[in-house]
Amino acid sequence: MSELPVAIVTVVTTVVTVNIAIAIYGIFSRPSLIKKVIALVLFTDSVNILAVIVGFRIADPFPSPPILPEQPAKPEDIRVFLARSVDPIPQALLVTAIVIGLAVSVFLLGLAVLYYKHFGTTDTRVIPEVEEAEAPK
Amino acid sequence: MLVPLVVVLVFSFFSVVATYLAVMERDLVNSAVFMALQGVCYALIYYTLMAPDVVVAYIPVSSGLLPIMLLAVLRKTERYER
Amino acid sequence: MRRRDLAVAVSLASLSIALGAVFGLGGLGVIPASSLRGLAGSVLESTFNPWSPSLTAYSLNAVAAVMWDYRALDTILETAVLFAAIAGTATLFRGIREPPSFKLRGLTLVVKASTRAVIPLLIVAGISLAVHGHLSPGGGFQGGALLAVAPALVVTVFSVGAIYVAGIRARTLLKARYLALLLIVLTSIAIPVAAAVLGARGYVLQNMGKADAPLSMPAWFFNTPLAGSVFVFNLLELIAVSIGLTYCLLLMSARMEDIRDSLAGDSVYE
Repeated sequence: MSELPVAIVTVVTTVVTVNIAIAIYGIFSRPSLIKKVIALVLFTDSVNILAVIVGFRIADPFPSPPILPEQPAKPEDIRVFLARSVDPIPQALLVTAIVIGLAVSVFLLGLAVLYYKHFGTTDTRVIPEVEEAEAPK
Repeated sequence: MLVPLVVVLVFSFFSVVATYLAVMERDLVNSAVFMALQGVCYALIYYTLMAPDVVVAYIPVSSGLLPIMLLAVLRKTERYER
Repeated sequence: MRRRDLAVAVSLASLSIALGAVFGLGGLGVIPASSLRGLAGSVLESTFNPWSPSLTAYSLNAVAAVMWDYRALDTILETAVLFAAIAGTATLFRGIREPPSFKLRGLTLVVKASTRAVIPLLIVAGISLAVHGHLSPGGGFQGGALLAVAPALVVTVFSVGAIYVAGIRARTLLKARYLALLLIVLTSIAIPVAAAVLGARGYVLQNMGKADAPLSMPAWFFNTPLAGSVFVFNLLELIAVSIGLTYCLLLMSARMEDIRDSLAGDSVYE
């Protein structure tokens, strides 16, 4: 019964790769600063799914999450749990990655607000001209 | 037994639609809403891949905090690009 | 949203799903592993194992045990990255003027009434996620992020003035966050300091007692497993993350005329 995990993982990998391509296109092709931040958030989220796919496995009916449902009464319960559970280490690294992505996005949004306050626009095609106009002072 | 596969197929379809529309949209408020929609689709994909801790960490961040902060920033800067 | 954009999006999505199906049926699919890796096997075997008390963390949630016991240094550094980002945002928005404490109109009555019903549920769910972080899916950051959605809803539905009328200032939030971060650092060095006082050995960020370091954090709460430092770190991270994200939200919600132009290069304070 290994066709179901293989099918799920293949479909998700293909779709996430397409999303990564769309997000990278969005980062370099749209001129607004805030659209670039939105595309960066989409890119980070899509890459995070690949990390969970690394931890997935094939198990007898279907894999189970890495959390013990109740306190084990004898050591065989832990063996049963080990035979079905998914890898927990990529999920812990993923929570760290979500926090770091949030930190970077919040800082970039604050920077975008200050850019608008200083230059008067968030269009990246207009900002170099404004910078040249105020440089010789 | 096919429920996880159907959920993954439907919601990954919607996630590609939401990502493309979020990047191509000129009204940035619509773009923020599509980003929240993509967050919901990804949360269901995380659930099917048996990662409940990641689901509970990802839903408030992508569908709660980031769209609200984006809307607050858009109120101060330009709403339409170009 | 133009019709052409929607048509292109739907066709791109169907193409990617069809590509995934073709790869899967044609034998080129991604094949996940059939057995656990060695490191994952040893982590899952020792996450709640009363029959080997020198390796276990007494936590039913393996991901929380990995985050706060087996790889606690990674999580402390992630907290430091969040601290650096919040400090950077506070530096960008320096010299911000406190707005006058008045309440604006906010949204309509229906939205306000339903938000008043949802906000206590959000607060209780966030605290419960953090307190039960070692028994069920959840943890410190998860509870803190959910708890920070409640002020975000208040700012959206009522107005920013509702938070200032309640007496919350951005500077006091920052001081409370520094206190929580200081307590996290003190908890990580609690066991080596206590062990040095008593004349035994202790390791930094130690959770349970080892063979040569017998001092340990409390492991049972009557007859529910309490994973020692995992529980304490979850509570402190809940406070630190929720206060930090609320602080960033208050900075972003300030009016444009209260923000000073700190990119101008000169001194911002008059």
